Order: sequence, then structure tokens, then C-alpha cells
Amino acid sequence: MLGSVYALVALGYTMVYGILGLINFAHGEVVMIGAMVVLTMIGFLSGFPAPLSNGAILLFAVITAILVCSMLAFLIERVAYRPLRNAPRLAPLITAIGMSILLQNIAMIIWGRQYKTFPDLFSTVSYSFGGANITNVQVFIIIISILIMSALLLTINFTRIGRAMRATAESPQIASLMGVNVNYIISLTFVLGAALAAVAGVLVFANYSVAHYSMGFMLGLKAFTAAVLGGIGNMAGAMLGGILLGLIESIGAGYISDFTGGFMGSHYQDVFAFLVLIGVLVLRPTGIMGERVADRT
Amino acid sequence: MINKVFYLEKFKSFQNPKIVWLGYSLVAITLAILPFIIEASIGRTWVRILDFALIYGMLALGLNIVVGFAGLLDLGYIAFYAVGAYTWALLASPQFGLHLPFWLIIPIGFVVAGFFGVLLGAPTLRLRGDYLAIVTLGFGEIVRIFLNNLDHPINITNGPVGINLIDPISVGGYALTRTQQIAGVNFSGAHIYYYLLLVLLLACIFVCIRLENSRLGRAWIAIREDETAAQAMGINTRNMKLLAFAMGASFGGVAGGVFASFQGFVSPESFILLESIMVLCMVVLGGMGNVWGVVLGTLLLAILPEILRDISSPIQESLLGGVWIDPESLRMVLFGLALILVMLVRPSGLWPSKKH
Amino acid sequence: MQKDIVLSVKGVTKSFGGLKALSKINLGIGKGEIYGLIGPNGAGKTTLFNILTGIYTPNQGTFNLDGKDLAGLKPHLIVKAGLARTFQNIRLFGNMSGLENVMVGFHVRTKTGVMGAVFRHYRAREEETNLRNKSKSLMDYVGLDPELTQPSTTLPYGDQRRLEIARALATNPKVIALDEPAAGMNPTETAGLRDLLVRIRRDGITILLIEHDVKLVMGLCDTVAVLDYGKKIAEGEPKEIKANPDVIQAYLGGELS
Ligand SMILES: Nc1ncnc2c1ncn2[C@@H]1O[C@H](COP(=O)(O)OP(=O)(O)O)[C@@H](O)[C@H]1O
Ligand SMILES: [Mg+2]
Repeated sequence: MLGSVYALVALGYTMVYGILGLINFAHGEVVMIGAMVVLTMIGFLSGFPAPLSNGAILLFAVITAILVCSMLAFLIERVAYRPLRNAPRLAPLITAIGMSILLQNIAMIIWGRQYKTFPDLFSTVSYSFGGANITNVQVFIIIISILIMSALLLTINFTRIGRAMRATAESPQIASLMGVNVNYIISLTFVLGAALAAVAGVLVFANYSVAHYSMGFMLGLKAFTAAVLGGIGNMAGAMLGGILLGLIESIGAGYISDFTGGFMGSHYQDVFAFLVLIGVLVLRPTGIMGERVADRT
Repeated sequence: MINKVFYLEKFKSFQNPKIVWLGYSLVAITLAILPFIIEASIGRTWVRILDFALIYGMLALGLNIVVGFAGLLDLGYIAFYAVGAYTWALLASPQFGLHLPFWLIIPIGFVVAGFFGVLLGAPTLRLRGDYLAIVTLGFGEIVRIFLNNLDHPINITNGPVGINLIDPISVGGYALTRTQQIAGVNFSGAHIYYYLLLVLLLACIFVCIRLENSRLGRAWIAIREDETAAQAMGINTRNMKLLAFAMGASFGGVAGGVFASFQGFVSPESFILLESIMVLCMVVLGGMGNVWGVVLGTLLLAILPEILRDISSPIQESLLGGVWIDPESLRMVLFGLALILVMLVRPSGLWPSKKH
Repeated sequence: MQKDIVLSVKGVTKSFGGLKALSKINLGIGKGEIYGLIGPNGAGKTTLFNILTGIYTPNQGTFNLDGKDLAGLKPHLIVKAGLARTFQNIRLFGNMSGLENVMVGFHVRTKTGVMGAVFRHYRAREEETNLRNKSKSLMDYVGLDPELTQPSTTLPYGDQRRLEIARALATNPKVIALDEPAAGMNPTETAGLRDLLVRIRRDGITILLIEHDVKLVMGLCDTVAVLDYGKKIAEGEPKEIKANPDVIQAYLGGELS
């Protein structure tokens, strides 16, 4: 379940990394802002004089979040990354970190330090299913994620824009020679990634029922892990990586105590994500589905 | 040729030994009386802030060996600071009832942190660039999570609470954190530590400059510039990278130990990712690879945000008629903005190494 | 004539995925000669260099320098054994000055450690002065101004190529492998390079030379080997090579005449 959210966020990392070779540290913050905007919009729309149905409120809120996040990502790329495309390698990484800190603290100023709870627009129903429990919210999350990701895959693989995106990821220079407007494609990539992030933000928020200005960083890091696990730059890999990481984490957290003879408790859950990340990067840096990257000499 | 002559003419004064010595003495005197000036003009807390700036300076110089010289992007550097701090805390506090003297703990911290540097560096040797950054970030977080949780089943680190009542450095029975009277002048703990840290920082600067201008420094820079070419020129890149990790970590370890003894307690909270990022930003903002640039970056990032913390409330009061924005978040917002702006305007840092 | 072989390559094979970049290459490079390696683009010449210098490991085969087996060793050990190289697409340490680049080349022949670097004891100081002086004379040797302080990547192209040679010479090699050193040079620079190569040979260093400038190769080399599609199709003195029908075929006739 969590896996499908990781997958959504991982797609954003993978698309940007595929084209720019940049770890967009601010991506996790975009997820958080998506959640926060939904919260605000629900509050705002609920107070509307003409009462709206809960479904409509949620729909409007999510659409607003997508719009806000897309614009935000567009701006981030324009302001903080584009001018540095040919700068020393560390420079864009530092602006990415700076952007992440900036967004986190602006969010803190706007939405405060408290944990926010998800307004109950609909009641949670729990189904039991072969011993495992699953809620209607979670079913909903999985369905939405699958729909969005399929749409994205279709776009990338079967449309002109998708082809241009793939060409740019392969080599921006050659793509631009072939008449692709690389800047436009890069902006589009950021916008698409952010739209997915916004949806992911809502889904996480709905599932855990809490949001916090600092929720983005760890989530982003795990999603990046998922992207690497699947093979960075590879979209299908990102999805697979997300789902795998979700599984590893929940299984790992459940059994960690047994593994270590009670020495390590579930506090060490995050250690698992990091160990997976480190293990994959060190042992198979191309990930599960990544192609072998040739060393140039 | 004409240019060269002109250049010599212009800088002749710098080559006159008398003037050089005068310059050095002026700097030395300023540094010596700085804490008194600061205490008299803006208050004792600022001497402490200065002390922390010096500790950050050691960290930034250590990280600069890894990132600036060898070009290995390390985002988990604070782990070695943590290792140094906890080493000190465990060897000189009631936690285990050990109270080793400082001259034993400093070398132990140096070695233990260096060992961790090699331990965490070894798996990353084949990684380049961003992947290295992420792996080191992971290691940094893992170390912190362990510090946070190693209070059970056996209590080693005392968990999130941290370790208290750590021994200060003491010489001949005099604890350096106490106010001492020397030649009729009162030296508070912050003052004494200022001198201690200043000496340590100068030693670090000295070591860094010596290393940079040596066979080893050239080998590191060669790896930074082109790893494959460096190998093809006969550099054992594996050993040189491990050496960079070990040296950098050792600086961090010593800084961490002194920090623990100065502050008197340590907890995992001091070693969060943001601290790694902060130190990295000092290095990059100042000018990667240039020792003086790194010192400048440290001073700016260690001191400006503190000034901001002090003045943001009064300024908001007078402009907006009340404190609207919590000074802490405002400080971080400006920090983020500053990182972005400096990188946009000067991608190689404020004072890049002259080779760039 | 029986050659005194310094570098011998036996059955070296390398494939990248399905592509066989080199198959069963045998070469014998005689002491003190200039040995040319030619072949069309993509023939596998650079790949062979990458194997000889330890950047790639061969799938099969071995090679030895003065009887010492080097296959599978790390690059720095191969350099230490006495085989140095330059790169086809120049790979200088960009932000270092020319002199510093050459000084890096002395790394394997010096041994100052951390203590020496920090405390600059007598031996370390002596070693440093020594290698600085030697580096300066090497710069002179290849015809560069040792006092230039600009970043090496801002040097003119021909100078960068010569700097790479100086840097490789600094490792004190028995054999120096040059990957297309004349690429991108004008005729004057090429003539200068030719002189330099002759001097290097005269000073007792064996040269393994990949070059596209056929005139240069034929005029300079004692022995030439031709690679095509990863196979050695000919080896011999320049005049034999010029007459070899397979070689002419590989070059589509034109270039060799
Ligand atoms: N790292 C690599 N991965 C995949 N193929 C490679 C690699 N290096 C070289 N090749 C291939 O091996 C063949 C020989 O290349 P190369 O040795 O560079 O040729 P040359 O130097 O003779 O022009 C080429 O087809 C090239 O594409
Ligand atoms: Mg080639």
C-alpha cells in the first residue's frame, strides 16, 4: 500500500534524474505541500455557503493541490536549477537542498508546527482479507495509483511528447538537434512529477490521517531509494522499486525483532530503508531494471 | 613580462619580512583579545557562539578534505562528529563510571572516528557523485538511529535522552569550564575554551594547508579532477580515498570530543542530517577546496544566523508591530534562500580555491 | 631479426555484451622501438590500451612487461611496473596547472606520507624539491613553459597533448602508450611531436603508438600492427604493411597509398 505511494513519488525523482542527473531534494517537500494544500482547501470549501458534497470537496481540493504543486515545481526548476545546468556538479545539489529547507520552513510558517489531522470526509471501513486487514481508503489509494501510473506509462510510451521526453533523457544535446524543445520538456517533466507528488501527498495524508511540515523529507528519501532500487531513470523500475520497498519495510519492521533476537525493535524500521538503499547502490548501482551504464574512457 | 614586474612591485610590501610579521602579530593580538571585546560589547553568550563557530570550523575543514580535496560528496559527515562526541561521553562521564583524562581521550577519539571513516568509506569506494552522497547520508542517519536506540537491551548511549555530566577538559585539577583567575583576569569557561578551540582550529588549518601542498593533496585533487586519469597516473585511488575519509573523520572526531566536553552533555539531537548539510554548506558556500574559503564559509554560516535570531524579533516588532514569524523558521528560510542565491551567483563559492 | 621483447600480449580477448571488441590479440613490442597500432575507428585500439593499463580486465589472455605478468592488476600497479599512457580524449587534471599535472605523475615514484606532508621533515622536503625540479625539466623536455600557472584545460590543444605525455613520462615508464597523440594537431605541431617521440625513444623508452596520421606512423614506427574489427590482420615493418592487401582492404584502398 505504502509501496504505491513510494512509487508515485519515485516517478518524480526518476524522471528528473533521468533527464538532468540531479537528485531533486525538494521533491519530498512538494509532496508535503500537496498534502497541506488539500487540508487548507477542504477547510475552505467546507465553509462554503452552498454546501458541496464531500466527494466534490475532495475533488476540488486535490485539483487545487495538483495545480499548486505543478506551478511550484515549474518555478523551482526555473529559478534554482535551470541557471545551473552547466555549473560545477555540486552547485545544483546545494540549491536543491536549499530549496528543500526553504519550502519546509515556509510551510512551517504558513501551516504551523502542529501535526494536522485529516478531516473526516468519509468513514473508514476495514475489510478482512486472507488474514490481512485493508481499509477502503487503502483500496482507493491503490486504485488511484495504478490508474495514474498507467496513464503516465501510456503517455511516455505512445505519444509524441512522451517520445520527446525519452529522447531528452537519452541525450539532451541530440534531442535538441532533432528539434525537441529541451527546456519545455524539462519543465514538463518537473510539472508532471509534481502532479504525481501532489496526489501522493493527499494519499499519504488520507492514509495516516496526519500531515506535518517535516513529512516530506523522509518520504522523499524513501521514494528516492525506491527509484534507485528499480533502476534510476527507469519509470517501470521506479514503480516496481516503490512496491518492493513498501513490502521490504513492512515485512522488515514486523520481523526485525525476531531477526535480531529482540535486540533491535521496530524503532529501527528506517534503518531498513537505508540498508536497502546502501545495499543496492553499492552492490548493483544500476538497480533491478536499469541498464548497465558504460564507463567512458 | 610587464605584468609580472608590476605584480611584484605591487606586492613587494607583502614580501618584506617586517611587514609580514607586523601583520601576523596584529592578527594574533586581535584573536587573543577578541573574546573580551565581544563579551564587553555584546555579551557573554556571544563568546559561546564564537566557540561553536570554531568547532564548526574544525568540522568544515575535515569535511573539506573529503569533499573539497578528494571530491567525495559526503552527506553523513556529522556521524563522525557524533562518534567523537559519544566516545568522549562514554569514556569520561558517570555513564560507565569512566573518567579518562583528556590527553588520552583525544587520541582515542581521533582513532575511533578515523576507524569509522574507513569503515563507512570502504563500501562507497566504487560510487561516484550523487550516489555517494545518498549512501553517506544513509550511513549518517543509521548512526544517529543507533545512538537513539542503543539504550536497550543494554544501555550504552542512554537513548534519546543522551549522556549528561560529561567531564570537562581539566588540567592539573582545574576544570576548563569553570571560571579561572589568571594573573588577576577572570577567564570564564567560554573564554578558556575559546583559546583551546582556536589553537585546535589553527592546527587543523595548518595540517590542511600542509596536506594540500603535498604529494597526498595533489593525489586527492587529481582524483577529484578525473578519477580514471588519476588511476592511470599510478595513484592508488582506493587507499587515497580511504585516507581522505579517515583524515576527515578524525577531524570530526576530535571536534566532537571537544564539543562533548565543552557542552557537558550529548544527545542524538545534535547529530541530525541538517547538521551534516550545514557543514557541507559551509564548505561549498565558502569555496570548496580552499582552506580560507572554508573558514570564511564557516564564520558566515555559524554567526550570521545567530545574529538574525537576535535581531529578527525587534525588527519585526518595529516594522510590523508584532512578532509574526517565529525567528527560528525565519532563520531557516533565509538560510535556504542564501544557499540558493549564493550558488546562483557564485557556483564555485564565495572564495573559491585559486585554481578554479 | 630476433627482437628483445619488452611488452608481450598473448591472446587478449574482450567483449562488451555481444560485441567482441578484441579477439585473441597477440603482440610483441620490442625494447626501444616505436610500435605503431593502427586500424579504422572502432577497431578496438583504445580498448586494448584500456586493458593494458588495467582499466578493463580482459576476458581471456594475458600480457607481461619485462616478464612480469600484469593482466588483472589494478591500474596503479601497472603504472608502477612501468607502463604509462595518455588518453585519446585528453584527460588532464583540469584545474591544476601544467606543472602540478606533471608532479602528480611522480606519485608512484615518491613516498611521502601523512607525517611527512604535515611535518615536512628533511626527507619529505628533499623529495618535494627533487620532484618539483624534475617536473620542471620534464616540462622543458616536451617543450612547455614550467612557470605557466593557468588551469591546464585552458592551454592550447597541442600543449595539452604534450602535457599528457610529460605527465606519463613522470611515472618513469619502460613503455609509454600514446593514444592518438597527433589528433587535432596542425602540421607544425605534428612535426614537433614527431621530434619529441624520436627523443623519447632515444632516451630508452619504448613507445606504443596509436595514430590515425598514417604518414606519421609509417615514417616513424619500427613495427606496425593493424587491427580491424577486434582482430589483428597484419603485423610487420611499415613497408610490408603498406603492401598488405588485407590492410588496404580494411582502409578501403585510399588512405595508405
Ligand atoms: N565500455 C564500453 N562498453 C561498450 N562498448 C565499448 C566500450 N568501449 C569500447 N566499446 C566498443 O568497442 C569497440 C572498439 O572501440 P575502441 O577500442 O574505442 O576503438 P578504436 O580506439 O580502435 O577507435 C567499439 O565498437 C566501441 O563501441
Ligand atoms: Mg580510440
